[in-house]
Amino acid sequence: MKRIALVGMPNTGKSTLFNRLTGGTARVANWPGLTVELACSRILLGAQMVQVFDLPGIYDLTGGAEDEQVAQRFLSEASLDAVVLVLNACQLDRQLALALQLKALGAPLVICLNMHDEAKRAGISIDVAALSAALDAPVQLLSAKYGHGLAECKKAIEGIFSQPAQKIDFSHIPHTANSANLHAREKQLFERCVQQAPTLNEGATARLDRLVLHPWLGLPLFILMMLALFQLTYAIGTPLQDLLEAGLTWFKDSALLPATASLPSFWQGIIVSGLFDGVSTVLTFAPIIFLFFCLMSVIEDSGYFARAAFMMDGLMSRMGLDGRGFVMLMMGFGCNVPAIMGTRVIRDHKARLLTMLTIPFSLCSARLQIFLFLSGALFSPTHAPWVVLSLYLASILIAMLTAVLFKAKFKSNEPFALELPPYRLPLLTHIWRRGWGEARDFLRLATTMIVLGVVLVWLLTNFPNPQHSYAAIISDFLAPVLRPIGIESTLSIALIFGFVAKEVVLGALSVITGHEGAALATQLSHTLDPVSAYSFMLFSLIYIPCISAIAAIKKESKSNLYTVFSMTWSLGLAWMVSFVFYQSARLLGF
Amino acid sequence: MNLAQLPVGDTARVVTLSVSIDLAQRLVALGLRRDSVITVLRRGWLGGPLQLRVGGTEIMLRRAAAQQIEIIAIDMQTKAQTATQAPTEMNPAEVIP
Ligand SMILES: Nc1nc2c(ncn2[C@@H]2O[C@H](COP(=O)(O)OP(=O)(O)O)[C@@H](O)[C@H]2O)c(=O)[nH]1
Ligand SMILES: [Mg+2]
Repeated sequence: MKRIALVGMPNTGKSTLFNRLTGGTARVANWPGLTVELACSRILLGAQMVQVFDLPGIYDLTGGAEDEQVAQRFLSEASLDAVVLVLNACQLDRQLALALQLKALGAPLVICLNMHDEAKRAGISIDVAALSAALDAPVQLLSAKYGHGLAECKKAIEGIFSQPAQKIDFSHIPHTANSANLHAREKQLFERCVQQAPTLNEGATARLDRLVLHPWLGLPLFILMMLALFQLTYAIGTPLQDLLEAGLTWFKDSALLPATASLPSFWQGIIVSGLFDGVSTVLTFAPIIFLFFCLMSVIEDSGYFARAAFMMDGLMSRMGLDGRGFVMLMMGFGCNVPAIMGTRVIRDHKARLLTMLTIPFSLCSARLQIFLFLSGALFSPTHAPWVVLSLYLASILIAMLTAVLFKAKFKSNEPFALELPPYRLPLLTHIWRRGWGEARDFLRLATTMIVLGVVLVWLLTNFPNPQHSYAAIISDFLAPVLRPIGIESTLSIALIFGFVAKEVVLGALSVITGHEGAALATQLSHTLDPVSAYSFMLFSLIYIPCISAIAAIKKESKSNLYTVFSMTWSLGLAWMVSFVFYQSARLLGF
Repeated sequence: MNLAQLPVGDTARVVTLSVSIDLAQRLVALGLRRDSVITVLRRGWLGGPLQLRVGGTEIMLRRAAAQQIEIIAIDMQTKAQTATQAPTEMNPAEVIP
């Protein structure tokens, strides 16, 4: 089997090309440093099976942060039949050095000049033949996003397979910081092969930046965007959710109840009040998840992340973090796990640990479900959006507070430079793929873990008998801790299962209360008041992310002690924040 | 004059990079090298970073790091001159490291 690897600087479109070649679903975003791990897929190229590897971006062949080292290690260890070097055609002035270096090492190079569409628009013309002759390698213009030039690229890759596979020797690479010779050759090559028409009027990116990076408008614009993100999700998603709920209720009444009527009450209970009620409450959130990630993909692909890093860096540096940390928090709004892994772009270990300590507080899409549901159930439609927005702001503030408190312990001063890519518009297919991919993962989770979770909750609340169940024993045990923060102890089971995955919480609530969907909302509005509901939400936001996030923290920090510390801090802080909120709200007479 | 002192909108030529070796390597990869021509696009609020344009790339760089980059400002007239002269003028000097 042949093996090829996609290599290049961050954000040049390697993952986009990988998806084009393999039909895969590697994540793509307009942010340097999204891919931090190897991805691999097999395809048929011509008559041969080929293994394609998507690598994290590298700025250099040596040095760099952990994400770069993943790629460098792979390149130095694997024997490759082709190294597909993806360069940004608009930035050849600084990216050609990588081609010169790899060529000098004897790599079997195929060079793709990606983003040809943008280069054309910028008036850049490239003498492909001269470049190919100078580098002694096939060079192909490509627009991976739109698929232009893809067939030619595949042919060029096939063409290089006649040579035997090679290992690249990485042991004697000179440091590029002072290799003036390399850059002189790069410059010569660039001036010989690339012509740029002088552009006089400022581009769309510069015009948008004036607004987005405005000293006073920038922050309100960010908050407005967050509000738009979940309000739009909610506004379009709720009717779909209601529809789905109506369908599920119809199914329950007309099919499930008659079918289970003859079963013993134990089995009827576990199937209807356990499985069905629990899982269907969770399932109704599939449209919300789909929409949320569709919108999220627009933000990711727009190039806003890098602007957020620029805008927040001044503030974040006072908290011992940097602008990239803020981007990780935003990435965490989708799911905390990739955000925790994304800290690999931070080179300094302490800075990385401090950033990682803050990410679990980022309000992920699973927690958003709980908050949308509870705020819809307990607050008026005009208040509910502000309640959710306040939780987003609380999430960021708590992350920042954590950083401030621990910055002395994780002191670092990593100087860094970050690319600000131009704004880009995502393709509809890309938006769809991201939304659908996340919705599918959600459905998979709902049909495995959550099924298990709700059945367990049902068993706990019904054994040995509903009056003196294990759940009741646990609740009584936890009551002294939860009462001061206004959380009814019957809800403690939901919180315990929320430790595994936040998606289970609503399912567990519906099993505990014996209601699903709208009935659950009404039921909760009888047992909770706005203050205790908000306290419950604050606690759920802060107390612990979920099993997968903890596993990611452990994997990235490589330290059990740090992982335990992070969990303890979250749990302790959650209780303190809820306590202060609940008690002061009560004192003030709410 | 260092890069942090360059007014917004102005252009300069990089003379020396006296930053740490790791940052220097990254800056060089991003196109900010000795002799590159660089424009300050804006400064972040709250003492935030600089937004710079170097060749086909825009980057952000903290002011502390920018202070360690020595530059000479290019005013608009000489800039127009160097732009027309650049290819012939710079190559021979560049090849010798
Ligand atoms: N205009 C344009 N944008 C592209 C092209 N290829 C990729 N992109 C965009 O460039 C950004 C980075 O792409 P990605 O595949 O994540 O880059 P990677 O970091 O090299 O894996 C994304 O916003 C893509 O949508 C292209 O051919 N043309
Ligand atoms: Mg990638």
